[in-house]
Amino acid sequence: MRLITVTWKRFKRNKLSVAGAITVIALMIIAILAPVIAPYEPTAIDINNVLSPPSSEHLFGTDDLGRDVLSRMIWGSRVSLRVGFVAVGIAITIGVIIGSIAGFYGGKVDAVLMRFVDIMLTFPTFFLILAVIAIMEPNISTIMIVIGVTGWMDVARLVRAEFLTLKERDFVLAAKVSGASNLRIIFRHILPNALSPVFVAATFGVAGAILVESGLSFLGLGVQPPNPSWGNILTAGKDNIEVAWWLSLYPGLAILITVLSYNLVGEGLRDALDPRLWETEEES
Amino acid sequence: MKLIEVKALKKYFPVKKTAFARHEWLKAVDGVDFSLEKDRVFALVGESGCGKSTVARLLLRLIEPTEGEITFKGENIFKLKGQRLKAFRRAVQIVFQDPFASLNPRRTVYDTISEPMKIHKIAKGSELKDRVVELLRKVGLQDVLNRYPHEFSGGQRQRICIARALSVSPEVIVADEPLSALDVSIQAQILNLLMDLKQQSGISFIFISHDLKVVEYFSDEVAVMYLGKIVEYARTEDIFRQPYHPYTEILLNSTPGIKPGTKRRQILSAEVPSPIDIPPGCPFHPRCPKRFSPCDRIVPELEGSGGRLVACHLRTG
Repeated sequence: MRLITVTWKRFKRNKLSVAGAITVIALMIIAILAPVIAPYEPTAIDINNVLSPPSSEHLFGTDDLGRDVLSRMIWGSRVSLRVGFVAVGIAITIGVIIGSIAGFYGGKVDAVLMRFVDIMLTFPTFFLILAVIAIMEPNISTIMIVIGVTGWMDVARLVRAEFLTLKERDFVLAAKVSGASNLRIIFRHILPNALSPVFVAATFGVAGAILVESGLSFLGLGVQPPNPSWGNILTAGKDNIEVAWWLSLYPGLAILITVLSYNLVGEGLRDALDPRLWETEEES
Repeated sequence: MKLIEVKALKKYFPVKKTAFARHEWLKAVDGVDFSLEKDRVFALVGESGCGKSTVARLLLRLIEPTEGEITFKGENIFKLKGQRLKAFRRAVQIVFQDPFASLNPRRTVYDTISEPMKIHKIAKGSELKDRVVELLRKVGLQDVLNRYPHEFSGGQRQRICIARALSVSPEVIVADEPLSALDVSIQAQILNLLMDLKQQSGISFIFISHDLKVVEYFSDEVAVMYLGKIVEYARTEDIFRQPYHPYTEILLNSTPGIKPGTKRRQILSAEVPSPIDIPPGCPFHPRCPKRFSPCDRIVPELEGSGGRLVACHLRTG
């Protein structure tokens, strides 16, 4: 039986995580199919229909410029997912490289890299991102890069810790005895066994990145209007909260559900990938 | 011909006590000499913590020694580089104690056994596959190419490890307690497999064990280690006929016999002292039933004649 099958079997047991996974997949499909399923153009202004409440025509109502909120949210989900995945992708790439080097070579290399990690951890991330974006042009690529570049430290620590234990394991020593090069040992023997906690961290990381992006867009430092994102719909909601509750409620719920789903998936993965629980259960 | 020669080998590990105290040293291996002849089996015996696994790691150049050298066919293995190191890696292989830790859980049996042959460019394509199948047949496994380690029992995993060690046609295999993690019934099977290999393929073995009974069947020469030092070194039949060192004697007598109650077993009192704080004089004296005046003051030298060496004041003084 392949390890993926084992993981899936164990993941299935947590019903909440499965619900989270279904939601995550549904959100991905919505994001991919945005041009097809969005009932209106997300930027189409309709002056005659400003701030109209949810109705059969506009399921989630319209905003202060008469734009359809549902359509804007569907298009906004693209932003959230892109930011989530690209930012986490960047964070993981940096984290895995630095963590692997530190853990594999140890000694002075390790000490220097880990002190660098400590320095990076002393910056309050959100304010660092705010400062960087205040200087640079606030657009989606900047946000993704900045979130990625400030979010790799946990991954680096996880990977380093895995490397430190794995490099002393007998199968790694056996590979060394067979004459395997350092690169082969790292990529074939250590890294594949070190990735489980990284997957878990990545899932939680996506949730975190989505939150950060929403926060930035809410403050007007993220995705710039008229381009839709859940955060900047909320900004419009804040300005009109006495008259148009739907402008705040729906994007707020979308953020809540998305972040919750990713966290549930992360928790399920963490339990499913825990190697301490493997040996005993595989036989059954 | 001497394949491997170990000369005055020492390996100390630094032990930090507190932030301000200076390093203490854990003397895992403290001046060990022995050699392995071609087509022979050399056994290294001792209790856990005596440094025998450290010797195994040094023999494979997985760690660097504090002092001393190991030569393979006359060359110091710690000075090898490039192609010569690669040739050494091909010539000397290891079988570890724990078959559950020594296979990569994410790689199939085929991946594991073919890897050394890929590294040393011994075969590729269908020839490589044939060789893997042949190696598995040799160790008594069939139709397992695409299976993962967790599908096997301990004995089967140890067979896979042996097949991996054999894949590069090594001249020496270091077996670091290859039986001690296995059930007794499986131990016999693996031991038989190793003996067949020794007879058929002309591989020399360094066999590390804490079980003297196993050593009796398998090895030509035995060295008994205690706290990082060799205390007795002899041909297997000599040591089993008459052990010279009291420690060897106790080790022999502590193995359960076949008939219960035939002989009163001598059991070692107390634990092995810490290798950080080795007793003065003969390291064995606090536990030795035959200790006398010089034992706690003077360190006995390993000496003797006719290939029989012992480090004990009873013999020399």
